[in-house]
Amino acid sequence: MQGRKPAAKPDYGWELPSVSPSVSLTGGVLEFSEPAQVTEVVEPGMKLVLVLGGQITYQLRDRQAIRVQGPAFHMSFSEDPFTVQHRFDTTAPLQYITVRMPSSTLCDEFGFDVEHLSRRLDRRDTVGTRLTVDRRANKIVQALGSQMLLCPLQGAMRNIYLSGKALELTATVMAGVEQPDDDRPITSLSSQDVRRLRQVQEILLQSLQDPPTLQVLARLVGTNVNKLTLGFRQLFGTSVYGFVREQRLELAYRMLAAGQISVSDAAQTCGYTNSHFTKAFRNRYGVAPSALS
Amino acid sequence: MIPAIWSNQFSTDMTMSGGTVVPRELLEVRAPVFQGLQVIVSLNGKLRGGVNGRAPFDIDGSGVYLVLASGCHEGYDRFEPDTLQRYVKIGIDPLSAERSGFDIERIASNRSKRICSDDVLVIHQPLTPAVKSIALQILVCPFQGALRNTYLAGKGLELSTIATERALTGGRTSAGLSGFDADRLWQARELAELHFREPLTLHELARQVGINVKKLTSGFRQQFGMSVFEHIQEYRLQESYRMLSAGGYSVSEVATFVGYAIPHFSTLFRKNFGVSPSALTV
Repeated sequence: MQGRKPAAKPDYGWELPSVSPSVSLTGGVLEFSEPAQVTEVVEPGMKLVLVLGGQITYQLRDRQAIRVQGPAFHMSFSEDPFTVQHRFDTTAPLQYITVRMPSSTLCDEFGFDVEHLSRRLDRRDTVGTRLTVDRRANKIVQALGSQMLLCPLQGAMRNIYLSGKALELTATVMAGVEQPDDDRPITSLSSQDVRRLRQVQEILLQSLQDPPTLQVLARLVGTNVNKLTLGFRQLFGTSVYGFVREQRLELAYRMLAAGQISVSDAAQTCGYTNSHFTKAFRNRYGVAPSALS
Repeated sequence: MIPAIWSNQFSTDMTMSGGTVVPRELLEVRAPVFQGLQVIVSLNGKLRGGVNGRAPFDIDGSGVYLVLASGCHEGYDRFEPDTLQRYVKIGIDPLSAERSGFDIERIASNRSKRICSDDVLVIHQPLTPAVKSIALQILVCPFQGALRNTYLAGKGLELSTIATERALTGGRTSAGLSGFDADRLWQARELAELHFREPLTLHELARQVGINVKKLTSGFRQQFGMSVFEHIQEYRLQESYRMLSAGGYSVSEVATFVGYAIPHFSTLFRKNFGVSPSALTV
């Protein structure tokens, strides 16, 4: 077994190179003998507060106070730091989990689009790009929360497990708050669709250095961009861009291994800058490109 | 900041890939072996692998394969035509492993079955229901786009911990026991875990690893701090926890799988983990 996929072509395979989440996580059970108040400056990015039991009241500076009573969650997203006041009361122990993720992780690592995000989230706060959502937590979200609070693993494995669960929780919550009309149902592909998509794949393979835009691709095979991107992912398990990137690296690998080309030429051929190329290559094959040439 | 009972700052890097592939013709791939730790979960697979041109080994069917490599090695994989390959693969390079706390040396020193131990170490472990469930969730990820990336990254981290947990708990020896005996006791523990649904008798267990019953019972307690029976009980509960939190199984399926009647299972589970098993099911 090796550092690369068994199939030379990523038929139904996919790859997620360099998963590097910088997620910070707090959680536990808090009991207060008297009401308490805490002011927090929330850093840019996403903050998710899941309350499994008990309650917490929060207030943004210029807004009405909102009570989050478990099982419920509160999520905010902002491109600027903002101040929020939390009030804890003595009624019941607060069982909670907080997940924070900076904008850079959300956008650069996972590919969230801030504008898109703000269109998708159903309750919009109009101040700048700050959004807040408050919802009841459904059974799935509650179960993920319980799994995190109870995590039986110890030591380093515990941290890794929890960060994994935090990402799963984030994805699940975000999927749940999306507008229904943004749902993208998996539709079955007709044989004509499949033929068109294979044609698209063929075109891409012929033009790796300078692939056509999605619009042009769609026109060439007689479909629309939406159908093309959804269908491509469904059939090949990767985006059009992901496929191109994958194939470029594959090509670079073959050229380097055959000793036909220098590292910087390979990078250029693939449309990468040198340092970016080295990083992508190492992620993909586990060795630096210079190790092959 | 809100005060916290536990608080963690995470940062880890891993490479993940997966797929369902049926090669139409004979496929031979030669490429450098990933340097560091690879966790490969094979749901279906049939291939012949090799390292640096040495004697090849065959991989057939499901399992968890932990591949450890340092330095440059040439790997070779050969897939027969029309064989279903369904797998998830996670690569963690040595730097990331160190940063995030994966103890590669401990995995290397564990006593599971070795398929290859020349230049590259390949450790084989059985596919547990929890690992299988997470791998399946990765392969049939319900999300698209950025949500998909987030979900897969999360599931990848989860899989890497659950799939290496067994290997990470193996390998230690305790004082007062010879290396030979310690090895036998680890083997006994592995065997007992493998047969946890229909436990072997102590005689059978002792016979299979080649020590006497007295040594097995006293040594086991000395090395693992509990009796064989207690260990199996604990293992059953841990396994049920893993299955429930991995998702995809109902409480009654889990109870049946680990061999408990449902009411008894719920009581035991609650006593041990403080919540009812249904609180964890998605």
